[in-house]
Amino acid sequence: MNKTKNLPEELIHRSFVYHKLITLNPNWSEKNGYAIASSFKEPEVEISAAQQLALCDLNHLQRLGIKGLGTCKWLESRNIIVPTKLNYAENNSDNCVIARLGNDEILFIDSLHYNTNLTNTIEQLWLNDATQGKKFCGYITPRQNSHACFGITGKDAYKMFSKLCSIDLREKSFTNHNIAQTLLAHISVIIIRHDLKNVNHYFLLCESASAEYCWDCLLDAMHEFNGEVIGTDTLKTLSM
Amino acid sequence: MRLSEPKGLYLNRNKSIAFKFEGKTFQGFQGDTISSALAANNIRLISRSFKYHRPRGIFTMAGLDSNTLVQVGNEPNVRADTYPIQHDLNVKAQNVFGSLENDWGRLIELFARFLPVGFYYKAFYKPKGIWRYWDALIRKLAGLGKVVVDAKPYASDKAFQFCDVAVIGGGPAGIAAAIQAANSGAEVILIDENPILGGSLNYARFDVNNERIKSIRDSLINEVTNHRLIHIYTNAICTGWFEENLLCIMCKKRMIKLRAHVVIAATGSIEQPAIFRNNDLPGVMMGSAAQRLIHLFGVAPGKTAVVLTGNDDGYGVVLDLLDSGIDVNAVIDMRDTTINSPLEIATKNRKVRILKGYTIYEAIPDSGKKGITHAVIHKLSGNNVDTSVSHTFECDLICMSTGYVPAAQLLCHSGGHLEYDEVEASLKIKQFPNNCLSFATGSLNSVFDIDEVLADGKYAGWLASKNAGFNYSEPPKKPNHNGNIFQNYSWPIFPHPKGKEFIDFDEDIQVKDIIRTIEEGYDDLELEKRYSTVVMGPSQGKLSALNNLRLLAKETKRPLKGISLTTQRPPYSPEHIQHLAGKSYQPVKYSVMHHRHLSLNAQMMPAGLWKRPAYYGDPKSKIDNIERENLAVRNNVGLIDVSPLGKLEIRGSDAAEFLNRMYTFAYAKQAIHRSRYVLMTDITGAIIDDGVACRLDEHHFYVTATTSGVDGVYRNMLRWNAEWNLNVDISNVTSAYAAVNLAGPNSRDVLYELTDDIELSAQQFSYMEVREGHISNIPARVLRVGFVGELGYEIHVPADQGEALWDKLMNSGNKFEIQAFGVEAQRLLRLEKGHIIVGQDTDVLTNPYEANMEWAIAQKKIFYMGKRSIDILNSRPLNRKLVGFTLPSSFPIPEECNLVIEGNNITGRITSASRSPTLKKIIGLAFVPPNKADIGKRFNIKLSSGEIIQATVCATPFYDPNNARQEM
Repeated sequence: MNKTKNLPEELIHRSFVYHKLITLNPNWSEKNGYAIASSFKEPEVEISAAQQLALCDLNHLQRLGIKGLGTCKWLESRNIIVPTKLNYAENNSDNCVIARLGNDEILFIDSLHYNTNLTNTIEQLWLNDATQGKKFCGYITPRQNSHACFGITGKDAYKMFSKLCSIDLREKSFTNHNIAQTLLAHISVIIIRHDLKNVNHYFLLCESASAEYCWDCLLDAMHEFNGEVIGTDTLKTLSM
Repeated sequence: MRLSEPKGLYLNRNKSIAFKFEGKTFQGFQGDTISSALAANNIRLISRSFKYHRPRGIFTMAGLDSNTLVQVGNEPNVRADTYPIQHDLNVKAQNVFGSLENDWGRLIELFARFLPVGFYYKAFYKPKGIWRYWDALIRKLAGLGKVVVDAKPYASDKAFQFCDVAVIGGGPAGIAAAIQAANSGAEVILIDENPILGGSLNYARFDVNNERIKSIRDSLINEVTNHRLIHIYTNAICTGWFEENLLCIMCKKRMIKLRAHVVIAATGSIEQPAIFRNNDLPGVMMGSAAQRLIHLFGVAPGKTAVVLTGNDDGYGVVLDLLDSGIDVNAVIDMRDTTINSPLEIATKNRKVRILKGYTIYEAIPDSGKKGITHAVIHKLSGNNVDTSVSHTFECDLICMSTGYVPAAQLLCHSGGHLEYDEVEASLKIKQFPNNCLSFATGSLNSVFDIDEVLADGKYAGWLASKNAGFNYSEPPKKPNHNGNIFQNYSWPIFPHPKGKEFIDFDEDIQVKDIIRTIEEGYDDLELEKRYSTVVMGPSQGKLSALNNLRLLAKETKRPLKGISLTTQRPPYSPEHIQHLAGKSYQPVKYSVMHHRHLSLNAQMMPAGLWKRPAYYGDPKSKIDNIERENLAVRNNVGLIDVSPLGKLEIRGSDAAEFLNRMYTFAYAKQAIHRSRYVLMTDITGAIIDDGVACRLDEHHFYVTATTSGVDGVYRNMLRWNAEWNLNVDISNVTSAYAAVNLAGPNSRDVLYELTDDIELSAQQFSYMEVREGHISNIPARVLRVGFVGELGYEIHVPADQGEALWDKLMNSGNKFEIQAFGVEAQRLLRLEKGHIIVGQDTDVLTNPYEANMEWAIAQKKIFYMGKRSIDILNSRPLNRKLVGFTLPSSFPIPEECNLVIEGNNITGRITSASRSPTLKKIIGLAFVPPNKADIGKRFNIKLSSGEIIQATVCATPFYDPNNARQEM
């Protein structure tokens, strides 16, 4: 871990909001070819913030989409969990998120511990089957790059969302594993509730070109509740 | 005069606040409103009326009337009754000529007989031309406060909230309902416009000894504020109730859009005035206004009072006045029967004179007409006044308690309905909102006895929670609405021969005005309202609608029974426009290279939602900068960020067929690893987009679209394939790929150093071919395209690696002195090549033949979107043609949309024009008549300055007509 400001620019993969992170002077580390803002403050301070309201950049998390006719059947044939309900997310045994966005549209998000190779595995399986002419196994969509990914935690998260988003995200209405595909500050987003141990947590995905706009809107809305930006180490700790 | 504690519930007497009113400094306490603080300083005159500039003061003390509208700083029409004082608040009267004390607008009343109701419909237009003089005068007289156009608004925003049960109104019924609903497990939001919950429990006299009421109040407030399932908003006004229980809640700096499963309306009722001569002067007020002043603000409303009543509440007012040390010279009870209620008996025991079957006929103004000195009393005979039996009582305060109307405006917003009930002499709820689960409770529901109110609230809370899905096994006792307490006196209207008995205070409408309106034929409620403007002022009929109904029914000899109000529309009370606007969220998209552009001093411009570099460098040298960038591409190498370009993946066994149907060109036989121009037309044959289609394999096309057009193209594709059901998957991947165009004769050399798996030679990678490989280890799709007319490579990479790609290319190009170039230079470069920009060089009617794009139409195809229309258009003569033109370099450059004219006729327009640094002349594209489209023909352009210049049609491309440079 280091404080080197230039680390993000030494690597080829760059978070869509790394210019924003640099101004907050985080401790950087490297994963998946990205510079990761591991922490900004002392762990106990960040954990406390995470329980209240916090925002974390998760653009480095591996993400993959598959959509098109036959996608779900094909995944099941490859022993991959597919949520039975639309707009619902399941965890696999490695704590990867498998989110069903449509009848035949699935989004995979790697575990916060980056200890899986799920997205690569699926991509490889798909390539094998697709190149062998297997019909109806869907099509890979580049979610890693089409969408930015943030983590939002804390008991005040839904209050913050209520300033930006017109749908009911109260704890009892938007329960764990639920997905909302909606508008936030007038841009399309996917919100996946994925609680960590004893802490509310939401994945928020928006179009990557809108990442900085979305980041600014979130910070602005969080300000009222003393929300903080936290590092990925804190999320990892809270997920253990 | 201030009263001692415990009077003054809202006050913090430890904090004094100084504020200004009409330039003078006054002191109040924290918790005071402007009206209460002025009353505490014995200031009674607060405003002037709209039409006659009559003196006005506190009337409802609830912000329901227009009598206390003032200007606070930059903000006009502030309701002084409810606006809290703050340090250095600068309050001014509005609608005065001169000063509030000496308002010469008061002279207008002398001409009142020339200004009858509806006079403005009959005046001002004769003799012809007179209106412009009236217009100037009326504009001066009209309106109330002053709008300060350069005032800086404070920050406000919006929030969306949800609950199982929303309760509007924090009085006894509302609180009881909220507690009951929450006890059943419902999540409740309770909204109240006052700073402290309690409603009428905080100021009204329900009992002779009010201790039991205080105990009820304390208990309710304690329970509701500590309930974990109840969220309370105080100082919050519900201004609108819309379909499916969407409520608009205005807080101080936030507008909340609240969606509730069930709504309980507990908005209470509005006390109504009696109509007698001079009932508008300062010193005449509602009984509840006097009680508010006493109990909420610790202010004595006067020294000597006369109370006019038609119900028992008037006696409660009397007791409150007496307890505050105010003399009550008489109680004038319009009822001629003795009720002997506990409050009436207590009043008698206090030795106050009670006159039964009398009314106040006139208030006598003081010498300055800014207050009152006496009340003239007459005997009532039925609904009429017997002037032969008369008394006069000295007083500086008249309190009126004649009855109430339900505060049902919100219910009516979403379809609720009130009707007049002759037995109770009141309006009652006849119908609840459409498509909304809702209940009413408390005095809104015509329940007034405090125990019944609480029971009614509880029952409404239980019903609401049950309807919200919370089953509470033991329903509370259903309240018995026996209607024993009739609050309304049926005819509190006492016309005076000399008039000035106001039925609507907002616009000075007197009884005779309503009668004249009806006499003139406007005898329908909706017509009467519009002609007379009754109920149309700032208070929106809250104080005038009921008496107006009564008067209209009498004068038209129609029954009151079943008569209803005119339409009630949101907002219930005034809203700030800035609250409606809220925080401005303006989505913006940035390329991943955005920060690189900023560091190169790019001047950014919008392109749809995207920000793109227009050019790099000092704006003062804009033209030079654009020319420098242009020449760098022509002679060396340049790099432009084209990430905002639309990008679509079309995959599946029917991909080629799909493109064949969507675009005019042919794609079935397009070779893999080659790209082809795409032109999209709509079903009318008009051009709507263009780009290129790259065939990456048999069943996979990567298609580009215009930045602003891609979302429409994507929607179009989804919509059509829903009909065609071809085996294709369509993905909009615009943001997933960053892209640059490396262009110029040295571009190949820049790229050589960065790739080892893409053969770059002209033979191996020729014009319009596509390769997939790596640029500096970044996976890339590389397209040889020629939009700017030079050797060039459009490189598309995953977005998260886009900035790294830019860095590598700029680094590699350093030794060639690579130049970043922006949209302005790109537009100039493509113009030199004669390429059109869809949307700039075309409009919504341009067909391919007009735009010289027939080469992009596959004539043999049996179908593509727009084919039938294009075939029809092609069978007819053209109306216009897009041509290239030139002008000498010394001429002014025409602007886009400058007109092409012939004689006095407009025959076309300029679509693009610029001075070419390469060609040393002005070049452009223009729509001209077909007979002017031949090369060498001349046509006239009318410049923005009005000057007419002559241009010459020439062939395009202007530059490198053989395309040798882009194909090298």
